[in-house]
Amino acid sequence: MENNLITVAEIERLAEMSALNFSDEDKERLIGEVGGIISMLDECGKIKTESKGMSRKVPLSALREDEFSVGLTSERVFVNAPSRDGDYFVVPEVNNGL
Amino acid sequence: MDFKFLSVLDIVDGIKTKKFSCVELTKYYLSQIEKYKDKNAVLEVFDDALERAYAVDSLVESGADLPELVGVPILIKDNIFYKGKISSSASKMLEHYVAQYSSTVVKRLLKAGVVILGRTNMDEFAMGGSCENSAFGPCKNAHNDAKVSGGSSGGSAVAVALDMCAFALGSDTGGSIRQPASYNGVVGIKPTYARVSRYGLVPFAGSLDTCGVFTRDAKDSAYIVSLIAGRDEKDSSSSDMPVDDYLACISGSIKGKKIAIVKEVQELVAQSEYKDVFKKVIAFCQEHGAIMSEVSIPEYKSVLPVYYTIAPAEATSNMNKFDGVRFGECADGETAEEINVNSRSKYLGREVKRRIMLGNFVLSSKFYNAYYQKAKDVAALIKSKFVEVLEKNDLIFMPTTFGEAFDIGAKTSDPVSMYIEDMFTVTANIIGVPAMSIPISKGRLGLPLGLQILAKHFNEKEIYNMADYLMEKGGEF
Repeated sequence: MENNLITVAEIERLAEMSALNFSDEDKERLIGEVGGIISMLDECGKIKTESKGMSRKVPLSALREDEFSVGLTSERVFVNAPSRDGDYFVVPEVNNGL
Repeated sequence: MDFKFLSVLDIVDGIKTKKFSCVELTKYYLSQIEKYKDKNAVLEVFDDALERAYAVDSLVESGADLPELVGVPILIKDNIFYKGKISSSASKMLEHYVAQYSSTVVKRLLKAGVVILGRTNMDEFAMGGSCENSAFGPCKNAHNDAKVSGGSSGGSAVAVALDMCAFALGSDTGGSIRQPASYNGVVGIKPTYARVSRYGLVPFAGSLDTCGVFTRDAKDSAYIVSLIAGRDEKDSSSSDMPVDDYLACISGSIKGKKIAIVKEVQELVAQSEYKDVFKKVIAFCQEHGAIMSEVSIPEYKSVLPVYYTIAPAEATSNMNKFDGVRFGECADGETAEEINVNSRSKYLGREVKRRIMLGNFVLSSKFYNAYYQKAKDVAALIKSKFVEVLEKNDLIFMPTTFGEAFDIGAKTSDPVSMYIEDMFTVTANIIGVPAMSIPISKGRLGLPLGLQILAKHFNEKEIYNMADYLMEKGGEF
């Protein structure tokens, strides 16, 4: 089911934000799927609620003083690393070296 | 010794009194897992399970004090960390990921003496309601190979139903314990949000995720949850409310208990096979002294859009960590950005990608107020309505699902039709209350139907009391 908010351009915008790439066929499929879901989400808009700030009355998280403790060692951190050089994760250049 | 469908309490007694050994029992469950391997409920059997069983038997022989779950063989959902074991969340992205620490829930159970047999199948990253989103194949329903197991904790539910373990761990963000419990005819509880530590549970949506358990009866569930619940310094969201002895709270009576049913929910199941079952359950409860009433919550119809706005929003943030750099699979690319996009595109499944996209939609500045903020406002309103009902009542009854398990493949082409299956379960996650599904009847095809029981925050004891009563005295309705 399509929704007029969900166009190819919108799918491409969302894909960029999501760090995902899709084939043209997938993009067409997603127009229908995401569009259908968004149409379902529109039901919330029909419920009358108080001012926008209503849900912001949340208590502060409990805070505590910093405590020194041993967490994961470097060796454990790197066990699952795809590529490692000493204590560094290896990646190609970021932002084309700028 | 006949080990078939032993309860956890009987196992603990049997091992402590040396009626049987942990090794004998573990071998039985391992043979059950092998017998039912075509169900695809168990992704991996841990190769040290038997070694641990031998260690338990040595402990028993030594005459030392024995812990509360000594020698109980269990399975854990694939998104719950067990140090040194693969924990893949049923995703190609984490197919080879080895947990570097154990989750708190696993640590507490190991301390209590369990033997962990292996990890169970699930929907990828807990996103799904059928186990069809697993990257390693769907899990089949315990009672019918053509039907879904339900999800996302499908493997755990099937394993308990088919006696592959004494109990199993699951996680529940929108119904992922209760729905498969209903579909497979077992007991599944989602405790109060923050009742059980989430440390070491791979997050899907942090304000909704809850660890829970599958058992074959309410007493076992009560005993286990008392042991895993409680404040954890590693999870700052975990509650320091005292943990009740849930087993001791089972009184054997429901006289005077006030039970509400929601008119809008009843309207949704008016045409289903639940209608008659519900009537029988209500009549039974009234005959046994409970006081039933009907309440109206017109906002109920928006629980699903609320959930499917908030959950993907949180999921999209949680999924950002999979960038091919620090853990997880890594695809080729010329630049770091390319590696990030290529890794995620190659190794994440369709449903996960859809939810990431959805999350970014509702959180984007263009749509934030209209969707995400609005959903949070409606969630707060729904919560206030339910809290008001639960202030005047001990429990709320509703169906767990619309009916029996559906066919494998029936809903994979239409995500909304799949999401609608969560209609009754997402409420408890949105408002944070405890909720349990118990097997209550069978449908037209002879497959299980579940009754869902909700209570006030941190009042699991009311659920356990009612669930045990219905299962022991009511039987099948």
